[in-house]
Amino acid sequence: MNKNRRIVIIGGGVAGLAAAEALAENELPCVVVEKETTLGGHVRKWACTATDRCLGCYCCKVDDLTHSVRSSDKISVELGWQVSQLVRESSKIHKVRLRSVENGTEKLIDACAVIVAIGFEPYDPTEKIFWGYRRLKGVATLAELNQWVQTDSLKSFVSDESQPLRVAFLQCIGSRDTSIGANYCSEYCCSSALRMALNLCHDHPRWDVTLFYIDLQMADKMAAALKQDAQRQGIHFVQGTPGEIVQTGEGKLSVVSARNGLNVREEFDKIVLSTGQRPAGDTKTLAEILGLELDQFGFIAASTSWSAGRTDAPGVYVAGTCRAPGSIQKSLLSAGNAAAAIIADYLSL
Amino acid sequence: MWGMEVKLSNQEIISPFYRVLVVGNGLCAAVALKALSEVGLSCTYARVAKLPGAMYGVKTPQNLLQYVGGAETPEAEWTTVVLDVAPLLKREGIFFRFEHEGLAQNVFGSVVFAFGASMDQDPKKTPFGVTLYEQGDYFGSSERVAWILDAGVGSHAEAGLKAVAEALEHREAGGKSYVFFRNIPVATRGGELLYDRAKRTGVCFIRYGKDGEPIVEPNGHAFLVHVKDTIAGESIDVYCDRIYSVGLPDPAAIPEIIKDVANHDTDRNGFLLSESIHCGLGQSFSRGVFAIGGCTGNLGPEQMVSQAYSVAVKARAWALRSSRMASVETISVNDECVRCLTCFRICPHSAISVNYAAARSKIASVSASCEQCGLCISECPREALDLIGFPQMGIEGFLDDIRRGSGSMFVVYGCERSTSDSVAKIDMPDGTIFLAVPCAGRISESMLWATLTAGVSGVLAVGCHPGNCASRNGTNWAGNRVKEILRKLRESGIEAPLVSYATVSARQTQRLETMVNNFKKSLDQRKEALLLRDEIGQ
Repeated sequence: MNKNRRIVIIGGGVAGLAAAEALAENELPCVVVEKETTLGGHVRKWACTATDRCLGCYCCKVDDLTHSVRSSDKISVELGWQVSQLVRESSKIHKVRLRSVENGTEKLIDACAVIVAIGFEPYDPTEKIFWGYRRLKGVATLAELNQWVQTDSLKSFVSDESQPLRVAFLQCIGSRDTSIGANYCSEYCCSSALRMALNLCHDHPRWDVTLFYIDLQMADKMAAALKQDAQRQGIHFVQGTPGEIVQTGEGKLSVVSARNGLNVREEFDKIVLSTGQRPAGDTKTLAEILGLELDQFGFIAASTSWSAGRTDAPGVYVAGTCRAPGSIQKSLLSAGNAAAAIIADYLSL
Repeated sequence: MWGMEVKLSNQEIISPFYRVLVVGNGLCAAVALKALSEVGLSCTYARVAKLPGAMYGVKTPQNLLQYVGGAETPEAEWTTVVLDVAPLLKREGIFFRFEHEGLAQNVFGSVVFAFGASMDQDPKKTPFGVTLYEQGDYFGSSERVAWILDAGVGSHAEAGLKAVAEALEHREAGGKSYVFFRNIPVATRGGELLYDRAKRTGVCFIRYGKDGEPIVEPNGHAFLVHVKDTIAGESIDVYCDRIYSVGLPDPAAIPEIIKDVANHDTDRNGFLLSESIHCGLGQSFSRGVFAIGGCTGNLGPEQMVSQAYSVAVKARAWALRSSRMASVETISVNDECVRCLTCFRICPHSAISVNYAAARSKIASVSASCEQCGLCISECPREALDLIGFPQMGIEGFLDDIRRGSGSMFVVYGCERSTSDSVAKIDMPDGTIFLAVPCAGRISESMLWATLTAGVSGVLAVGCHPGNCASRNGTNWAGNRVKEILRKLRESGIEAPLVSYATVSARQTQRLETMVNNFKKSLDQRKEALLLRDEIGQ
């Protein structure tokens, strides 16, 4: 065992950072390789949805993690780099080649194991024209809405926040959809959309929010409390996702939903699409570099055990949403699992 | 364990820091033991026969191997003791003591609670008084079987998903399956595919709405279920031979002693560990205590395995941290201490120990457990405690500077975790002085009074959002102290908002800026009002 060899974590999102923290806490050196110029991944752009109390969205966890990664002497960070090659020596991982995103220069770093934590890519709703995304004014994605709230620039979406406003959230956009090969639930969006809805209602008492869903998926400890809050805030829940968004002459957005066997037409000022998680764009390339298999949906396949974070390639581990879609909490747990597997395997790496 | 001067092969010399007591039963405990041993911790298993053992999605222990993978669980790696009731466990400084006959090592560095969940609900809470769904029940293939989800108090997602799996199995065996539901739980790996297959195989799914919960009537040897389907908007009658109501796990099976050891770190339902994001990975606010599985309200085997490995990593990190920090002091105690035990009671991290061996009982901090939030210091009625890393002397110096200052200063005390980064990014209004405190819980009432009387125009205390505090409820303490001060000011006829409390998260930079500016504005307005009043008075 060469103690100088570090564990290379590909991806500086919430899963990668959590894996780095877990390894460093266990006195294992590691290096976080992130292709962007900042740490934090998707979650960095997501908003804190606290109302008069924390709703448990876990977004601030990324701030805590960034802090602890930055202050740990066991962790180094390589920003603006991508992994381009894995160098093995008699089947064991020896080195990892990095390529600069900016200018293509390369460097080799010592490594004994790799954790893949490259995350997901949000579904692009322009793929289905009837969602009206980028075509109709007033249609946005949940990610965009989060970014506006996070940067306090909701004005760019809603001109006068103090006026009454009818907002609809449409769930399962790009999830549970066989036609696009996404026959899975993205797991994070129901609670995420509901928390955002609660946050909006809390900050804007005159807004009226409706949530269109297929099946509400809320299983965490906060679920019951969130549902209670929703009832108190008067959030409407409508079963069934409307098929098409149409702009009316007055600039309103009109959708058709089914109720009691009848089609009902409803009008909204703004519609938010809760887009699901798709495998990140570079998953395939990276899988080829590292010798990994993909599952039927294009996520990285773990080896036989469910959660231990091992893959079929020796020395390569996987954490977060690049393995399966899910929430921040699930990503944190899976990062812990990958770290546990590395600690267990460390002597043989 | 590698990296440390202890070897797992020789149990005799393992330092207590690396010894874990697993209190539990059934599959959760088995998985916890496997995970903890894999990361190199030395385990003792206190198997408590009375604790619920079953995990919902697993029919037999053999299936466990499918979840954890690899070879058989290497039982030789841990000592097992079997008990009828939860063991008498005591905290002893940083360690836990568990006395048991014949146990060579009875001091442990951490405790992991790992047991299943009980579905034995109060029959009165069970909708319609029908059979509770029990995994592995046998029914003939000719039977018509119905599962009712989401009725009454609701049903657990994992239990619901398992019901769909059972309905599919029964249908494939040639029987008739009905699932009454409001939301099909699919938010788990493979959930959607299972639901798809069940639909295609001919399991009959009937969705009911808020006002249309199924009504069950006995009908000869069978039942008649009367339900209103939301999609068709029509009432439907279904005859069934057997009905299962899928419910929620019951936290009543968690013994009080276990909650005591966890310093009552439970969620609003009564399951172990609070819903705070700081406990989401299975580690309690009460340091050294961990929990996985059904006792945390989680019924899914996949999630349970995930929790177990995550806890194993955290427990190992805890062992390293506690052994490293054993000789570091974080809190000093002076002779003013009268052993009122306020600090002992309110510490969220169980980081205060009482040393009875000394001539006069002494309070001491357990440094590894201590997060240095300063809650104990703020609430100590004798001012006997002090944080070594953030001493009272430093605060005095800060106040002295204010006293020497121009007088129109405005002070912001902010929790380091949620405000420090933001403060560096924003433009504070003129005359603002910011002081980062380790936790809003350190902003004591006396500190607020001292600041007010030092000649400032106002004080703003900023903490994390309630429920988000890394020291459980330090932020709430700060909020209540501000309320108390406002009340006392009002009683002496001062209505002005000289003191205010606000909450923010680290990513709400804009919100902090707005809050600080708004408070400053309200102070300025007050100043103008006072001037105006004085002018009128003259």
